[in-house]
Amino acid sequence: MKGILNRVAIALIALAPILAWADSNYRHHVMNVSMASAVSDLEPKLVWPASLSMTSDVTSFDTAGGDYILPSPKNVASAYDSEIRHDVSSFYRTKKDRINMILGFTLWGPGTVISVGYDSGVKAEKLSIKRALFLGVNHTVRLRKNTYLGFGLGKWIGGRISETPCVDTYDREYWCQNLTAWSEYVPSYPKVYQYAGFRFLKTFD
Amino acid sequence: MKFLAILLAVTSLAGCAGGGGSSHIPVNGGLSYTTSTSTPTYTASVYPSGWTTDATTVKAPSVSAKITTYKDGSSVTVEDGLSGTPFLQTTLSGLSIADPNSYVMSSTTSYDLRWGLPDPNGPGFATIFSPAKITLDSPVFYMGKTVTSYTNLADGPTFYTPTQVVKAAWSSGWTGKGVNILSVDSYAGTGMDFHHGVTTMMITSLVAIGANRYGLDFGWNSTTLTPTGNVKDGVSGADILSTTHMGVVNASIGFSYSGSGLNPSLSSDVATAFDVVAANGAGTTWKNVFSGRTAVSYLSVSDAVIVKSAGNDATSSANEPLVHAFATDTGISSRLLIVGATTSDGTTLSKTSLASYSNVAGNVSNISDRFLVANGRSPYDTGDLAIDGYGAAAGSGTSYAAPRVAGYAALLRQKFPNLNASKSASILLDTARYDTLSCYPNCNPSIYGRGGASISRALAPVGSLR
Repeated sequence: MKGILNRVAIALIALAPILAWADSNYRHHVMNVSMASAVSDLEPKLVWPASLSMTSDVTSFDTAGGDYILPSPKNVASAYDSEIRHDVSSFYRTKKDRINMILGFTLWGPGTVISVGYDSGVKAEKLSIKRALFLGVNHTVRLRKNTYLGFGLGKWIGGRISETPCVDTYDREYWCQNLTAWSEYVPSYPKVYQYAGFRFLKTFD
Repeated sequence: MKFLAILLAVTSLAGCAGGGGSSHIPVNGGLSYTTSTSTPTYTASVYPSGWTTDATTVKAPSVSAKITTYKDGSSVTVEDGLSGTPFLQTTLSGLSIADPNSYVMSSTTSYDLRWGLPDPNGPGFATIFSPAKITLDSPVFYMGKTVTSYTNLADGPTFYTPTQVVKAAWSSGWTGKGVNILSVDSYAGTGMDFHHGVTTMMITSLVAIGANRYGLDFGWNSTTLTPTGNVKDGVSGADILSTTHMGVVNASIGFSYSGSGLNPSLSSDVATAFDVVAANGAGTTWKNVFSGRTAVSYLSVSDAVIVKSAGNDATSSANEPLVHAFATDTGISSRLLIVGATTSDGTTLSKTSLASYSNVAGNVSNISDRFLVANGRSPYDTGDLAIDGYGAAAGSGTSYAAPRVAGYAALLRQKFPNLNASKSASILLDTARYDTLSCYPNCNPSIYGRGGASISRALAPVGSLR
């Protein structure tokens, strides 16, 4: 009975963030699963979609790890003359749905979670985010009775962000987001999401 | 059953969002003030730290000259004026000065600039340059001439501050840095002879403060209007010794009917004017220079925007022989801007009109289609400055309107270096506007041509985006 309850608890923890974006909270989630598995000393033999999202028309762009990059603007006023406005929404319209998913595997003994994820990226006329792959591992070891130490590593690989300028009748290049000169624009994107962490756990009987 | 209990530590090396914009530090510790249009009341708390006040006067601490570096690296120095000179509380109230942290007016009526921490993108122009004029802390140099205060030759001159749109361009880093501007004008002799050239060059550099300035002297009242000497460095006045590619040429030169006793409303006199210019070869000379057909030592103008003053005879620009010569020359016409004068800088809220003396666009399409208007006033008043010790009298003319447009062209070329001169000129023409002119919405293109030159519109995208 206790074993069944533990399996149910682990499954509930594992499934909790489903449909949530694969953001930095993910690392806490898999650590919880890893530790619950280790503490209960069970091999739940689970494969579960720890994170899953599918988006079509977006209002903003994020990295595969969920960090905000840029909005998807509609009408933009020139930074040099606010009376000059342009509809740039078509430049940021995505051509395909974006799929972002991380699968969790607890197949290799208590306390070990392997994570594999995939992000299909985004392709719009003026901004693209390449496909990305997520790899992660969490492992919890028992140091002594009632004392555990968990380790976790994870990283999105790929997901390169690139932008192209808007061009006016005179072939002048502008950053579409605010119509300042492209030559003035210095991109500042979030770094590729990665984490490394540990957690110390003490339990009481 | 075991249960989860104590979570002691979690660390991570998670990636984080980069960049994220800059923060602004409140000027002078975030001192507050109240804006009023009637009689604002200031108390000691609104002044920067170190200032002393009593019931009627305010004394500034000793303040050194302030160098402001713009985003593109160019810089300008504004001075503290009469440092420590007390001024009257009533002066502030009388002028409705809203932010005494940024500037005050001294008791001797000289503007006494005060500032807070510099804005990384340039000074807080709206406050620092809110007064109509600024006074520089030391002399400045144009073609080797020393421009000083009129009353104290050790101090710098006083200028009208640029328009809001120019200041906005500066604060975005658009100062014309790296663009070479050649001012073809008169720099010889004394008095008005070189005041004209220095003033036109001064206007270009007050619009495009980061541009490199160069001069070529044609000699005042010369009958031939042909170059005198070599191309010179616009600061030192020394001959330049290597070929310089000009991005913009300002040519505030031309034939004056009023100065020649001819009447431009008489076709016979117009013919005479053309004959005079043709006889001394000026039209051909400058056509060949600006088109690149005649090589001038150390000078390349083959891809320069050519800005030509329309003339001051209240006639059609087509009657001005040099305008006609340039507009009909295939090596120049696509890069040509012809500039008439307005009485002031126009805005949509404070419109301006063509100056009574200014030549108009006319009905000849290859001229009227390239005709713009801009403010024709000198950037100083009589008594504001002296050039090599000679007091310079304020004046107006299309000679002073053209260099404003030349400065705009330099700003444009700085940030869009992929544009050639022809496209740069076309952008300024296509973005000119009537809604800053008093004639709006019924402006006559044969008078105003394409309208008032607008740097803010010229910097913004033109047409549809792709």
